[in-house]
Amino acid sequence: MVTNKGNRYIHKYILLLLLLVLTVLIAISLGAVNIPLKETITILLSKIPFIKNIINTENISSNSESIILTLRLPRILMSLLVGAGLAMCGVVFQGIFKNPLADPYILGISSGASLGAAIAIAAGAQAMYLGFGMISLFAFIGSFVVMFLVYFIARAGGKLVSNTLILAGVAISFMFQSFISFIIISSKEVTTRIIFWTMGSMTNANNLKLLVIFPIIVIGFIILLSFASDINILSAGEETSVSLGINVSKVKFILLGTCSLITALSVAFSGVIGFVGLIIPHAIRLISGPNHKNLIPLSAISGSIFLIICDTLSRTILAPTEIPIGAITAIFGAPFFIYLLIKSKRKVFI
Amino acid sequence: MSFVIESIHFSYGNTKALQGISTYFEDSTFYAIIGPNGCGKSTLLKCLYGYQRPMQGEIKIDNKEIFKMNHKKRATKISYVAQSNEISFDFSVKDIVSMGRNPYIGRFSSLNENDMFHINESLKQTSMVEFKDKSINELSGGEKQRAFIARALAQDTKIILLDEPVSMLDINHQIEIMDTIKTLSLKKKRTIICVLHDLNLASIYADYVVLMDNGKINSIGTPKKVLTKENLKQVYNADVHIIDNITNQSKFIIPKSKL
Repeated sequence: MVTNKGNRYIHKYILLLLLLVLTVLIAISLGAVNIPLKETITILLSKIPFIKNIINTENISSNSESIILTLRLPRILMSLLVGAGLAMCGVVFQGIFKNPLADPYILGISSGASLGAAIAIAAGAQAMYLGFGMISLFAFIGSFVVMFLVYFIARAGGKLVSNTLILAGVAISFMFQSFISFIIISSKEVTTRIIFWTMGSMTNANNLKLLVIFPIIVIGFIILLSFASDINILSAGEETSVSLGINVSKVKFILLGTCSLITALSVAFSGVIGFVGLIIPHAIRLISGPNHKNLIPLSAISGSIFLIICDTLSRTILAPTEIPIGAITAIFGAPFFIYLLIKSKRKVFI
Repeated sequence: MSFVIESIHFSYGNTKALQGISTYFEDSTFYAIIGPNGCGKSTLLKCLYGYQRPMQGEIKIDNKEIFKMNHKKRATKISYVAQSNEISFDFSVKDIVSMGRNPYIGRFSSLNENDMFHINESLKQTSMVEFKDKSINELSGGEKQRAFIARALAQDTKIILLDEPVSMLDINHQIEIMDTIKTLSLKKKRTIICVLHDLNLASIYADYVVLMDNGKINSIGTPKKVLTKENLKQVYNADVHIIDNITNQSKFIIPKSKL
């Protein structure tokens, strides 16, 4: 007998959320200057209304406070939000495209962002506009140009066909990549900066960027989660989905639009960070099964944990030199995923 | 419930798939749609549940055009079991059958007791209770097909459409599935509209046979009336012997070899 019992995944949520809090605390205390965990917690608590009144802040050094609040916390919160965003978009893209290789960049958004950033870097744009660097702004515009081009091409036949979308994304990606190559060849002095940007970094995170991306990630999460049942059903194919009451075109449009916006902002603020949106959804599917009602939130939390760890490693391994975060995500993520793949009896994709 | 189609036309580019089909379907009746490959059987089914929108004509349930209903409302009237059912992820049978309740569930709500009742009943009626926790992709062809029929049953619609539900099954599983479908029509008072290639299965199980040819209905009526040598020669260009099936009084069709 099938019963409607409570969420069997509650212990997984609790475990992952505790792990997330612990990861954030450890990540804040680690760096070129190590700050004891106790002091880190005290500094954080001293900034929370009401609680700050009962916290003894006498032993806190202003230096530590400044490092935590202005340098580390923004980038850790940015890693948390970008990690969650990329992981949940990866889940959704894999679900609606029924493609195990789908990730948030499958529609070519990263190539648009990279081209935008490359143009800004090559032009030597240093100006700030409303607190954002021109590189981020150009990257965001580049992402949007690609999004509109891909949707325009894919909708040419009247319907939003998955394979046409992917192929349009691939074609636009190749074209934009070749433009980037032209820029690199024509202005060699900016090559390193462009390459570094495309490999991702949280260095430029600031409070303003956090204020922009936070509501997008939260609202995006609520939208994607509310469509979890639809994504489950879409895995049975479009014909079956229509017969089960899904307005396939509308659902796809909302999901792709939401994910594209999240991805575009993530890339604009932190560069192209691969692997998170590809592997985290697969790893969580191995652990928790294919139901998107749990897959989306569990992947979001895991994506956050994973990216915070990678960001911490990127700034501590060779401190004070920083390794691009994109390199770290693959080096440490791939072996872990291969381990899960071997150990798990569950199939990731059929 | 009245289910009427009026002069529907559908084309794939310049290829006309349906050319002015009109008919109506009676309640609690088993219809078999037969005809040669490419005659428009599957396209007709896809139009009936709203996947394809006819270029002309109307499809009405209780005098209401189905394309004027919202998607969920339409899905409470008609369910559909596709010809091929590939599921990309490792969902359990229970998950698949639960999907049948989608038309009744709001975006932010979950399955209630009534939904659970329908899911459990559907599993029982299709003898799938013991498989409920198994992955859909671990089942045999027949078991899989029963799970998808259970999903259509959980959808609790008066009309169930099936596109060649037994085409890839052995004879034992064919009979098992066809018996299940027939029971739904007899005991659960569902209208079954089922595309079949096997003329003998249509003869045994259907109350009415719709013989299609080149996007049109060639003839419609009881199996005895429609499955005649002349009709089959005209539509399939095949010679057949037709004898009485002494076990159930239906017609038995034996193809004649051209050698």
